[in-house]
Amino acid sequence: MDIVYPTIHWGYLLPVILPVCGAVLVLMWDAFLAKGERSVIIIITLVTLAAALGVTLGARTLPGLAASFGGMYLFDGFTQFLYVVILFASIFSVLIAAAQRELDDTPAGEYFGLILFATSGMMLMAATRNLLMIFVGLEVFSLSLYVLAGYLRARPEGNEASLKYFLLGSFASGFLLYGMALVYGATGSVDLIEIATRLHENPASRGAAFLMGLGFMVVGLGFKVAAAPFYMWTPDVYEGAPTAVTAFMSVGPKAAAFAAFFRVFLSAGDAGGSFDTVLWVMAVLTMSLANLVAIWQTCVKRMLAYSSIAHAGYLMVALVASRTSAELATSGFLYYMLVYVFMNMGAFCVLILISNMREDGGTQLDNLAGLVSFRPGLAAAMAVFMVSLSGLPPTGGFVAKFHVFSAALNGGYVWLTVIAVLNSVVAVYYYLRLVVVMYMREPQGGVAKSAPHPGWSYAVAALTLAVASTLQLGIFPSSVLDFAHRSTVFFN
Amino acid sequence: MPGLITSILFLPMLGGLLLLLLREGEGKDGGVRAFALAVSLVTFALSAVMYLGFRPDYAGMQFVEEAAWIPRFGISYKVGVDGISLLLVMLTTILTPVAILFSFDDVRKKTRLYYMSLLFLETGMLGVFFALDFFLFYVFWEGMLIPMYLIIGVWGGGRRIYAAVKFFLYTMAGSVLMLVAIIWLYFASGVGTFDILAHFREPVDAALQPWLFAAFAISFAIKVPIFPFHTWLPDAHVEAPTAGSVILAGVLLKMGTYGFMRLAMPLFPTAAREFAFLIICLALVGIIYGALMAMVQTDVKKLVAYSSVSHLGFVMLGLFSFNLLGASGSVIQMVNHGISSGALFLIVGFIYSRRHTRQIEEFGGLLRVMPVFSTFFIITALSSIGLPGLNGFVGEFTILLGAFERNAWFAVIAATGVVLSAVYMLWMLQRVLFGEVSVRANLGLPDMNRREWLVMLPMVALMFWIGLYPKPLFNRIEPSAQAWLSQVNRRVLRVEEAPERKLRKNALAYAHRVEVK
Repeated sequence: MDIVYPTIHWGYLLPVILPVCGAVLVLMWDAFLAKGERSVIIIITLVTLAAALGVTLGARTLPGLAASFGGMYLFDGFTQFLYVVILFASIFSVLIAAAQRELDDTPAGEYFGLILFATSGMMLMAATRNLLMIFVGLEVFSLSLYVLAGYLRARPEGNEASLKYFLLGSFASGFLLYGMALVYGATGSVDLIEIATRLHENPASRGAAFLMGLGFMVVGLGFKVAAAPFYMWTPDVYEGAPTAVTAFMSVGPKAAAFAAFFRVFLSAGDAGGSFDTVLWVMAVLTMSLANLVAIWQTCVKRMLAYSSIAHAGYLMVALVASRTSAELATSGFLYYMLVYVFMNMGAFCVLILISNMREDGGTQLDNLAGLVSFRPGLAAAMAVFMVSLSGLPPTGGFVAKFHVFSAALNGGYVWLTVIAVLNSVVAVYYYLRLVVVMYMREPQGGVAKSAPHPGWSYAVAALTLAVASTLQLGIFPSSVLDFAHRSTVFFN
Repeated sequence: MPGLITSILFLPMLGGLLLLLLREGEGKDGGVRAFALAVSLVTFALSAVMYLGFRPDYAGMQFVEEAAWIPRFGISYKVGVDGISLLLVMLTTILTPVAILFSFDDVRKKTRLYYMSLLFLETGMLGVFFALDFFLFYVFWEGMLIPMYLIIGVWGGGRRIYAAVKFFLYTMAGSVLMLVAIIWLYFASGVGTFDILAHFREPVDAALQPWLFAAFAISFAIKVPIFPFHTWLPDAHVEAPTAGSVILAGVLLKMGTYGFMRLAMPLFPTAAREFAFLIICLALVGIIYGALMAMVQTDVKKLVAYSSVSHLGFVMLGLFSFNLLGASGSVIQMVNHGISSGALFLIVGFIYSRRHTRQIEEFGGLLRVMPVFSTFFIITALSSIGLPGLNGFVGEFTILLGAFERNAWFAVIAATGVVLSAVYMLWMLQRVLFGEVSVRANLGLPDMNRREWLVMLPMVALMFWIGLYPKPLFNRIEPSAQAWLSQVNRRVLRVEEAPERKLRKNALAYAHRVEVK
């Protein structure tokens, strides 16, 4: 029996190999460091991620060379863009974790090691056309995040978050795996290209088993992207986890899970058409419920948790449109994801700096009152992120929404678009309330005039990058838009 | 002159950013104020250069600049000016320095942010009038909301936050629908560009027009505001600081009427005709209702706010008369209302800064105490009423002629509004200015100081100039208004000529869309 060696393109694997190696290095280095010594670890982590980002940006995607391991690993344009998204999210999460006071006394090696492992898991999930690899990637990052969510062991909320995330997450993984098994049973393959071919050639394979499998996968992936009605875990977990982890969780897993969503539904093609309505309803529910609940939040962290659910709803709009308007929807999703990294991580960064300033580490709305009087720069940055999250020009959030709504209209979903834009009006209310509190109310007592946190410079770097990118993506979006459009090509 | 519009457009924003380099704080705000005023004055000077270089005989867009912006979507940075937008641009560049000069004593906290907001707002407003690309237009249209929101919310009166949020949400709710309509138009027309002028050349499918027109119209109607979308206006006006009210009434409201004129009507002429009766009725209701509401107000500022609802009804009436008199009268009336109501808000600001109240019953007999102020007040009020010889008359009279041409009854009802406006204005004047000094606190009030003179003089000069010699303005408006009118009429014919051809052409573009439904 001949054994055929799979083709492997090591250069394309480098962006994933680097974080894994970095994680191992960080974990080992940590053993030789004095307690409280964090900066070496942070710098190694950042260098690793930056190197991976550099390799990703420098790589040229070529159709013939995309697939390694027989399609288990796929480096196409779609992968490349999502790598950029995930790596930026990871870099931000490291920068803001370095500035979070609450994390000072926790073991650094494990924290940043887990961040790097989670990053590699997300990247793997985005870079495959194989159902099993989707699952492996998902589990790699999920397990890391289960631990990270409860990283502040002394806090009961942290433990609750971790346990909740773990239990419900395992349940969702089960659904996903069962769905994959059913799809495999119906089509006889775990490779999405193979599945697409068989669905095309053999109408019998589109039967109930396949649809049920797809349905279960929707449940599993819907859980990971926090889409309604599978979002119930999100607010509690986001609120309980350390803020830096919350920031990472609100972006990275979304990018990875939506990538899988897009790959699965684009290859299912017409056979997945019966799910259009389901996804339509999910998108509407996700946006509307999250926005309506977010209005009532008084804790900014929890408000941002609901906001992140709402944004998953807008991304679902792109997913819905992906069958009838594939290129616009896919590039819209990619662009939205990138903008979302900067605006959302930026908002969390401001939040961390604010809770650093206070003894109780509070992230209540009142804690931001009159921020413009004593931290005008921070208030201005937060205002930019809020404007962008609301989808107002001249910020990246506007171009992203414009792009996704274009895709939906081009795909024929007029009412979905109308519901989505009306939702963004509702969202404006709670995003602007932050601006109201920061700019239009007087400061309240309780602000500690302590020395700034040693990680302050990391946070400044993160904020500068986030503000600059948010504005650049809104005012001069053309080059990144072109990149996103080039990245809609899926290589077999 | 290449780059002229771009310089006018972005100079205020640049100046706003440079303000960050200056120091602020108690007693140190002089630099910030002077710099902001200087920037706005240079902007005005540049726009004056544009006004002088404008060719009155040419109907199309002048000083056009174009650069690729987002080529993938056919979005470009395209700006230009014609007879319709020229005067509104001038109005903006005149009112901004006036508002800034007024604020010198009025605004004492967070001054740097305040002047930054005002200057950013100026760029936003100018952008709306200059933009010849849907995307660019929308960016300015919404981007402008944020500085206005801050101005109302940070420096406003007691219920400022409520008013600011209400203003923002109302406007936003309307404009997102316009965004949907813009994108829809882009895909349905198959023009493949967001260039507004290119869309003028391509008639929109008649079946689609009512939907798109409605989306645009709601967005603009909220801004104008047309009855019954006006409820945000009294709140916003009353709570905004004086300079904010001046800009809000003077320029922001014109964006709604300008939007109707520049976009909604020429793009969807068939639908505009279908909706004309409804809109005229709402305009007439607004004229009467605004006047009646103004009559019963006890707060001078609120009275002026409701008078705006009434006066802008005239503009809508003129536009939807579909004739030259109505159209050019509307443009003039937009400018006139900007000047008159801007000046009225300044006057209210003067007495508010002296007495910290705006209740009519708190005043009386001011003519004896402050004769100069009272003179300015009377002139301004008469200009708002539409006394011949002052600016208000020119606009309203032309509009009434246009409305009469369309249907005599419209003119009759609207003329009632003129009478009512005389009633509420004169009655207010009588209670505030004439008679004995009824409240002791008013006895020692100082008359206008030099800065207040400087603020009011350009306004009054404009009232007399437009009132006595409006010809140069009409000369500049009429070619463009004529072109606008023929655009509207010609396009109606074209669609009716060959509906099948149009349908077939568009069928390809959105066949799959219908299928999905």
